[in-house]
Formats: sequence, C-alpha cells, structure tokens
Amino acid sequence: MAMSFKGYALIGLTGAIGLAASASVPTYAQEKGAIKIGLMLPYKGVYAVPAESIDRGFQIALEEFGNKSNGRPIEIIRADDELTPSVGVQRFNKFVQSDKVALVAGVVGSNVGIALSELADKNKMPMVFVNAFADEITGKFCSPYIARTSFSANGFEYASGKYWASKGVKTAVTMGPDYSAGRAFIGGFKRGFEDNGGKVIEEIWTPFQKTKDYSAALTQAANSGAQIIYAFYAGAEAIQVVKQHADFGLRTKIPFIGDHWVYDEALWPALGDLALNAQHVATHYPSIETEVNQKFVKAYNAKYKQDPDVSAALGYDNGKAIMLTLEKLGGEMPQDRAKFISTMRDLTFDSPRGKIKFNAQNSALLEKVYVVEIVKGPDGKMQRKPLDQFPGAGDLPGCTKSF
Amino acid sequence: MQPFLIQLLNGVQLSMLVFLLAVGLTLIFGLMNILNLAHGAFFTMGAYFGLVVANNTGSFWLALLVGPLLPFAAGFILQFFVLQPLAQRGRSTHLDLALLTFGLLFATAGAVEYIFGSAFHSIVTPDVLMGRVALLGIEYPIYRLFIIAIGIAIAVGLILVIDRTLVGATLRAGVDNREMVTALGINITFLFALVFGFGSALAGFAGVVSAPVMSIYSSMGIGIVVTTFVVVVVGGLGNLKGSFYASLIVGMTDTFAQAYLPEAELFAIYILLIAVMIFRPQGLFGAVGRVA
Repeated sequence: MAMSFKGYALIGLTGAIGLAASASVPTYAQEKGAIKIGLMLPYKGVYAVPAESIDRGFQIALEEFGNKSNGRPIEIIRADDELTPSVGVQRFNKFVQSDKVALVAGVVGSNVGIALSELADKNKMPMVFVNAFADEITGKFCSPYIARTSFSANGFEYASGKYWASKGVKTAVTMGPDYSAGRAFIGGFKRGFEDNGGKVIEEIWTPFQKTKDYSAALTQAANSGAQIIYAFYAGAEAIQVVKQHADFGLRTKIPFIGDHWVYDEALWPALGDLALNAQHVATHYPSIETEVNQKFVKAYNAKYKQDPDVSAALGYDNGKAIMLTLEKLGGEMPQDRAKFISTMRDLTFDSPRGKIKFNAQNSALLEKVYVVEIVKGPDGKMQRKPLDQFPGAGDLPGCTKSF
Repeated sequence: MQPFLIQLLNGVQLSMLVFLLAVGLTLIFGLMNILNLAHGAFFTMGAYFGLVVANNTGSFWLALLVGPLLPFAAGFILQFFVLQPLAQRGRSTHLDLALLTFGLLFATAGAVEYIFGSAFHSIVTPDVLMGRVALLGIEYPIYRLFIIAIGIAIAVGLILVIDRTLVGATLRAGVDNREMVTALGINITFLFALVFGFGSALAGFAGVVSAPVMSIYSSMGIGIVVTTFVVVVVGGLGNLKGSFYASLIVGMTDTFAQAYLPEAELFAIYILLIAVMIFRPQGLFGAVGRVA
C-alpha cells in the first residue's frame, strides 16, 4: 500500500508535466526534430546505485557520437519504474502516448522487463533492454520488437556453474532474492553446476526488497555442509549479506562466491576491507586491457571522476548498440519499427567487455566471463586481479516465434 | 541444536531492534492517539545524523549519543508546533494525522536522498565490539549480543521509569484518562511533545544501533514501519510491557519462518497480525480494551 500511494502521486505529477509538454510542442516538429529515447531505470530504492551507473554509461556512449545521429540530436527522456511492474507499465504508456518516443531503453528488473515485453510487442515499440536478464524475456516472451544488449541469465550463470564444478567444487548452497532475476541467475548456475558433476545441496531464497537481516539464512547455509555459498545479490542487499557473512565468521568456514554485483565497486565504500580477497566472476571490470575498454574507462573517469562499475559498462553497451543501429539507419526510425531491432541484431561491435554479437532472438551473447580477485593495488586502492576466464554459454531455448 | 541456538539469538537480536522502534510508537499512540507513520523517518534521521557524527569524529559512541538528538528535536517540534495545533483545531482524526505523517515519511526519504545521494553507507563497528565470542559451543558476533543487551537495558529502564516514578505515573494516567490529568494542572501539551520527542529519539537510536549490521540508505525507514506497527497492535496500543513481549513474538516469528519455513516468511507476521485482530483486537497484552 505504501508504494502504490507514492506511485499514484508521482504518476499524477509526471502525467501532468507530460501533458503540458506535449501540448506545447506541435506534432509535426517531431518528424524532423530530436530522436527521443525513453530511458527507464529504477532510480530509487535497492537498485538506485546500479541505475545511476547505467545512466552514466549510457550518456558516455551517446557523447561518443556527439549526442547526434546523422545530424539529428538525441533527447533522453527519463522515467523511474520503481522496480515495480505496474509502475513500469504506466511509465511505458506515458512514453508511447504523451512523450512519443522513438524507442525505449533501459530497465533493470526482470519483473518489470517481463511486463514490458508484452506491451512493447503490442505497441510495436522497440524496447532495448539493458539488464532484465531473465531468460524468458528473449525466450518465452521473445518478440521482433525486443532486444537485450547485455546477456541472458543462463549465458552468464550456466557458464559460471560449469566453471566452479570444473575447479573441484563438489557441493554448493545457493542464496538469492526470490524474484524472477534471482530465480533465473541461480537456476542457470544450478544447471551448469549439476550438469558438470556438482551438487546443489540447498537453495535459500530471501524475500526480495524485504530482507534486512540475513542471519537466519546464512546460519542455514553454513550448516548445510556445502563447500561454497554461491549467491546473486545487488545493491543494498549485497552489502548486508556480505557484511553479515563476515560478522558471523563464515569467511574461513564457507566462502561466499558471487558475481560483479555482489562485489560491485559502488559498494566498496560501504564494504570496506570485507571486499578484499573475495573471488568472483565478472563480465566486466575496469582494468581489462583492451583499447575499447581503456578508452571507455578514461572517458568515464574524465566525466565522473571514478572508475565505471559493471552497470556503467552495460549502460554504455546499451547506448552504443542503439547509436550504431541509428547510424546504420541514417538517423531515422523506420516505418516498420521491427526493422530497427533486426538491424541491431545484425550488429557486431567491440565493447569494453569483449565482442558483442546477437543471437536469433535479439539477445546479446557473452564472449567471455572473467574470474577475478579483489586485491589492494600498489596505490593502496582496491582493484581486481584477473585469475582466469571462460566463454559464456548460449541462451535457453523457449522462443517459439520466428523473425 | 547449535544452528537452533544461533537462530534463537538472531531472533532475540531482531526483536530488540524492533522493540526500540515499537516502544516509541506505542507510547505516542497510547498517549496522544496519533497514528504516527513518520516513525520510520526518525529511524532514518537518527541513522544519517549518526553517520555524519561518526564520519567527522570517527567515534561510534559519540554517534550513538548524538545521533538521536536530531530525531528528538524533530519529533518535539512536529508534535508541539504541527500535530498538537492541528488536534486543537479538531483536525485530529486518525486519517488526517496518518496522511500527514505518511507524507513526512516519504518527504524525509526524498530529502535524505537529495542531500546524501542514493548510495549505501555504513558505520564501522567499534573495535571493542568487533569479532565473535564463543558460548555454548557456538560463535556469535559480539555486536549482535550488544544489540540484545541494549534492548533489554532500555526495556528494563523504561519499565522502571513508568512503574516507579512520578513522570511514569503521569504518563500512565495520561493513557488512561487524559482529561483528568489536564484537570490536575499538568501541562500535557509540553509532556506530550516531550514523549513524542523521546519516542522519536529511540527510533533514531535504533537507526544508529542497526547501522553496523545493516546499511544506511534513504528508504531504510519505510519498510520497517510496517513491522513496527504489527508489534504495536499485537502488544496492545500504549502497552509498554506488551510491546516488549510482542517484539519478541514478532522477531522470533520472522526469524524462524526465514530459517525453517522460508516460503511463509513474507506473510508469517501478517497471519499473526490478522489472528490477533480477530481474537484479541485489544492486543495480546492489552488490558485497557482500546481498539485501533
């Protein structure tokens, strides 16, 4: 009840502003004026930090093209989906009806992503997801109007499960937030791990956005007898669970292995030394020694005075894929908007994390996944040391449409 | 047995944290008949003010002492200058004041985000309370035992004050019969504001105490208000001892559901709430027979 009241108030307000804005702009101006991109991110709440990073990475990508495509300026219109499907749907409708955007980008939560995929298909509105990793989005809910520029949960986590099983880990207990992305990530890990000889002894699910104290779940995990805890958490939840894992003295008992969201650099100030010596898997980290990445890290540092975290890199990929597609289309959104997405599908480009290619369901694939350790660098600041790398896995089948 | 013991301690620790919040809320409701939804805002305020103090002085103890002062002042001012005048003008229906304080809860989260950004912060655990202690074959973090100790100390202290002192007697009288207390020449407006401020300070205190375990962020107070209300209703409105026992019941229900029946965790405490509302609407420990 609490959230919905706030939601309505905000919708009323943004709706009013939207109406006022659309009334004052003559419609014909939109034909030749700016290309409007609706950017939907959960700017508040547990994923506020990743949302901010994605927004920044997105801007860096646009600036690389001078914020213009074929001479037409790009205008970003932002909306906050509050990580709530019903709110996301309302914001999406506002994008379509009153902002008259050319396409919608962003979206972090898979719960919101699933709600929007159907809507994008119905409205024939190109939807370019930045995160929304749940496999169903480019599987069961696939559409010629939907693309994802990051990767699917299976592509990342199946490969990770396979990797840890090949490293002599026989048993694991999993922990994750109980919602679509958590289920998709941990599910991917479990398949990869068990297909390659490992065994998940226990799966622990914590209520998403509601859990503050993980002591009960961690106690259960520690007593399961498994060799490792494999977890997927992000934002505020990641800080709490990593801290409490250390508080209970479990670091020497059962390692807490996660990914670049659990050990996101945006969380390092809050984690302090607890992040030190943690090993995790990552799709991107700032010190990858490729030209594209160093250029991106430099541009990001110049603008925001800090290293980009993985969310910033994913936001950058999202913006860059859109800009490259627009460039190919001569800065115009084609009449048949599905053509925008099919043009994007044919793209291949170098991104900070590696080469990006799309599969037949418009989902970007992972060229490689890195295994890293967080260490203190020569300057006394924390940084990541590469230990190993392995290729990403394919997507789960599930898409029955052909396009 | 060992995991059970750890879960038991986890439950008590959560209960004590919830108690620090619930006790202020129950006093405010019992005494002033105000459904104070802004209680979570004071929790947030205390945590952030404590964070500022800790960052500038490096002392957790100073943060613990000074942190609650801001919510105290804010609570006092809110009651004395806003809620009390509204009540005197007849605008004191539950809905009016609930809406006002509800708005304040979100306004605080927004203001905090404006000033501090949306990042997560933490106060470092003081060295004395770092590490773990071995007892009965298990190892338990000292800081969490400290939370339990603080909760019990405050509960005992408050019960002594309420049961044994003149101030306590006045408060109890205020809950039972407000007109009579005023008729006896007690400046109830001032007393109310003081209690409101004190309740808010306890919420802020809880914010600082929980900081080393959980993280500090702008909307931290919004979720916890709901749990706190469940405690207040289960314990009986305005019932101090009741809220202590109810905190234990709610904290244990939550922890054990999370540990042994995770599917039920989300609604376990609400089932408890509904059962109490049906069978004992005055609360499990309420003798006054007052109904929300």
